[in-house]
Amino acid sequence: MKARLSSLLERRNRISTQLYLAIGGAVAFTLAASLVGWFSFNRVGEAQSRVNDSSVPELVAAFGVAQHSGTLVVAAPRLTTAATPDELQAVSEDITEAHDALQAAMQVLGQQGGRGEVFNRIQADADTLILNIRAIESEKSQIFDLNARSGELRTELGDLRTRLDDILVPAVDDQLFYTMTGYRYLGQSQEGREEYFSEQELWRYRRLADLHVEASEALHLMESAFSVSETPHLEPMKERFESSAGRIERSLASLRSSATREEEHLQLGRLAEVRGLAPPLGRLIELGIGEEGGFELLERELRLVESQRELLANNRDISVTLVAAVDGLVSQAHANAQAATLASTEAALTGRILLLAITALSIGGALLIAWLFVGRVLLRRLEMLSDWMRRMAKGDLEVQVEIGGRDEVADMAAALEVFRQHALEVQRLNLVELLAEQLEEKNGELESLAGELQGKNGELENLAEELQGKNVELESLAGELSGKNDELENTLADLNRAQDQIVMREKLAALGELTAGVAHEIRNPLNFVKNFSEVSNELLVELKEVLEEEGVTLSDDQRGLVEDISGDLSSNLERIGSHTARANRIVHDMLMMGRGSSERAPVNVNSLVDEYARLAYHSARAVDTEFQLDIKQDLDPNTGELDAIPQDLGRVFLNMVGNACYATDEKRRTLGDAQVNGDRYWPTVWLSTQRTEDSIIVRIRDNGNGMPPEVVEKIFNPFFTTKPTGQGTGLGLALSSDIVREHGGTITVDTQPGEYTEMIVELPLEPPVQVAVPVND
Amino acid sequence: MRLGIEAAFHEVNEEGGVNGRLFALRYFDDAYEPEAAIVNTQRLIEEEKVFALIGEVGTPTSRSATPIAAEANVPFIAPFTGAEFLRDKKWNNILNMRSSYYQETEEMVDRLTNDLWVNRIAVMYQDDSYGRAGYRGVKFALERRQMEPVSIGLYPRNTTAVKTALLDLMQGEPQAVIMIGAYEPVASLILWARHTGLDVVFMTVSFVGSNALAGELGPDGEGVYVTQVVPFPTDDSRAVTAAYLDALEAYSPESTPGFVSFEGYLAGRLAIAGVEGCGQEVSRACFLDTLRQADVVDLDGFQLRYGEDDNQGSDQVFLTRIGPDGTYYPVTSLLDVRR
Repeated sequence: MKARLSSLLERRNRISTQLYLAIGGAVAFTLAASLVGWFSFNRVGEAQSRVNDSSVPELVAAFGVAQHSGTLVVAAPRLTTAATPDELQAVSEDITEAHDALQAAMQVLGQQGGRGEVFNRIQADADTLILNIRAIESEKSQIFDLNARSGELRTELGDLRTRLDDILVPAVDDQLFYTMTGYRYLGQSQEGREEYFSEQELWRYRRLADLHVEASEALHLMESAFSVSETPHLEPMKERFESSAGRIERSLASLRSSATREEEHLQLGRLAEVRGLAPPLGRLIELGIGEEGGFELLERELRLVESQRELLANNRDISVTLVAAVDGLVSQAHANAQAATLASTEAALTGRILLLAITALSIGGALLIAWLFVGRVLLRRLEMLSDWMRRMAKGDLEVQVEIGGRDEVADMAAALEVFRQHALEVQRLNLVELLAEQLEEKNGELESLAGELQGKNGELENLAEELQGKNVELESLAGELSGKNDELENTLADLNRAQDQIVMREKLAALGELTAGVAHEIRNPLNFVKNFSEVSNELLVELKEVLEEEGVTLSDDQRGLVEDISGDLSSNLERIGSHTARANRIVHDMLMMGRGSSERAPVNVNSLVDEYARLAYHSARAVDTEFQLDIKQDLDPNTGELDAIPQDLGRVFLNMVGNACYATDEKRRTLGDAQVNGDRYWPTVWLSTQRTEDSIIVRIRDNGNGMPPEVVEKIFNPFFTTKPTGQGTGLGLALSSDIVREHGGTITVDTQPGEYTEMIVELPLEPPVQVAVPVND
Repeated sequence: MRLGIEAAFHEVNEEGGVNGRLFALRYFDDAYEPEAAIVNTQRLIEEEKVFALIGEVGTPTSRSATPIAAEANVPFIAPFTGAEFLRDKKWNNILNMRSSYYQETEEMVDRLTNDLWVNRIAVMYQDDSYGRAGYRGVKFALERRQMEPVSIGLYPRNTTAVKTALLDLMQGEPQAVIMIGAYEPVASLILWARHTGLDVVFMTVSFVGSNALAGELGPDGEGVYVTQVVPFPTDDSRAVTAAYLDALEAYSPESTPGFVSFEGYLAGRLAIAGVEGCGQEVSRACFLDTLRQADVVDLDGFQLRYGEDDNQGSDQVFLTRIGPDGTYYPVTSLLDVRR
């Protein structure tokens, strides 16, 4: 026994025992986690079934109560508006159904949530409501009944009217005729006057006539009573009907009593007549004020209608409280359901937390076992053991193998120690031999390494050569690139030159136009100079001759002649002077134009416009001597001076007036001698200047051909021209636009095709801040 | 009236109708009651979907039916009444065939004053729109001659209570009495007048129902004049009368020819003429326009003329007299007979 106990104690320290213990612990944790899980699911399930078993049916029942009580609430108005008994029946069935359903829903509620205050109130209200509805229903069916009866009554009244008319109308007619004439039947002779024209017959006539009137009155009263809608109005009608009925009865009685007093042959007929009258008249009275008579029916019907009205009002009140109570019920049920759902959610949450905790605990426990037992007890010692074994294998046999404990590892360590002792012995014997062998081996290895190194060196040299080759290639590529660069620069310079040439060409073209004009203009004054100088010469010759013929003596006449001639001479010379001056001016202008200064100077805009307009005109005339133009000026005397480049600005006006000349000339050629608005067309240019606060506006307007919008769009584009090839450069307005822009101004065009063109140049008084404008802008 | 229309329709249907269209007559009895006339007219238009309404009998009944027909724009043709309101030019769906009561009464007054030199004329009429229409006709005819009725008697409709009226008439000591009423009260009045010794000329209008009147009067009917708006129905010397007699014989051999069925026949013929004029495209507008725009609608010599403001086709009035044998014969003057 003791031995067995000690053996057990021994085994306690063995690894297998400890492994079993560890696995047992892990299983225990898993079991605990499962238990907790089961517990939580159970709780959640319980909460859910509470929701299912109690809250949901309660909610459903509450909604049912709401729905069916709603049907009951609207039932009463539906009942009162039912038009036929069938409809009433259908509505009534609906109500019964809704009521039954309501009761069923209430029962469910009673079982579920007990009988609360709200519940009792609903029950009470619903009961009252259904009583009320049943009352309305029964009254409504009574009304239908009454309606049917009064319908019958009205039909009967109609028949009665016909019956009474059939008897009374001829009776009155016959009685009057008899009383007046004595004739009673066709084929019967006239009776004696005392017979027919008697007091008795007159009375009879009166009774019959009365009956007719009263019966009509009674019928009329009955008929109109049907359209009465309130009980109080019925009473006076009934009153009048009663008096009519009284008079009918009196007349009838009187007729009967007089008939019985008649002579026999009359008596029979007249009694029959009265007897024929009595039933319909009696029926009429009965229909009116008899038992179940019309008035009573009507009164009952009206009373029922009033009672219905009250019941309906009452119904409304009950409905309001019922609806409020049902609302309370529904919201209570709703609250209960929400609470149950909340409990279920809480249970689920608790379960989740518990599960999480136990899982964490399990994982922690497992980790602890692994760390404590496997890590510390088993693995670390095994590692130590294997370390020793590795060191031994490497030849380190000096370390003593020693490890604590009494388990399988300790056994292995003991075995290893034995092995070490043996190995130490063998090692000592083999050591010397081993060292010699090793030396030889190492030597061989060193030699082979030297050979390898030499090979690598050769490879490196080859690589250096390759690199040098690549370098040369790169240099040649760089040279090529700089060549391309030069080419590009050259092209740019060429482009700039071409542009300058174009600008130059335009200037030359303008100059050409000018020169032509000036040349022509110079010819004329020069002719004058020439002619008058010739004439002056001749006159001088004449003067000489006169002086030679007469000697030195001069008569008075001769003296006078000499004076005349000298007068003429001086006047001619004067003209020569003036025309020379004119020629000078033109030449001057031309020179100014050609010189092309770009100095800003104060310029009088009015005179600039005037001057260049004339130049343009003369240019045009130079080309075509037939050309004529009327220049009308409206120059603002306050225009004043403007700081500008006069030559540039002049070119603008020259160009514009030149265009005007061209446009008007074109129009003149097209029109020929045709009339425009009754007058012959006359090319005209209007020049006007206007000084505003901060600018000067120049308008150049012509009555030429004008321009269509597609042309207006393009006129400032360089090389755009409408003139025939060779006549225009297309640069005039493009340059003008540049010039005006350089002056900070704007050009506006106003034109109407076939009518006019107006160029408006606005120049600011303040010169713009000088900005470097690219030439090709 | 119905018999005549059906005879005309039967006649044309036997020949294959008009362009293949056959004529059918739908009818309801209104018992001469205006309320029933309203219901019947609505039924004919809404349920039976008739093309046109034809031969409405009576003045008050026509008065009820015309607004409904006008509302639905259904042609309302040849009503059996001469009332003036139907000749109003405001209607564009009504075409009358016969002469008006005004023309009949004018003829009576004309004959009385011209043939017999009578100047004391009394009027008895039924107390409704028919009677009043006739009464106005007599009154205007008399006023044109600077006269007025010497006495007036009226009786309630649908009764024979005419004795009060007779008393009233006697007050004027008339030489002639023109009566606008139904055959029973008219007959009753004549009998009582003759019985009480009021021996005057009795004249009445076509609407009275000539054959029924003669039957009611028996031998006392001799000398009563009735104006007619159609030719004498047995005088087959007229083409139209011969055609009527043939059609009636073919349709209903057992029927006796009469003024009313003759008028019905002419009404039927008028409807047929309207459909014929439309050709293939028959519409209500075309039907009415065809008849209105025709110069003359010739029914075998019985000529009807309509115009812009004239929706009445015939202006003819024919005078007839009840002979000693209780049958009618045509007369042209009151004097021929007296001789």
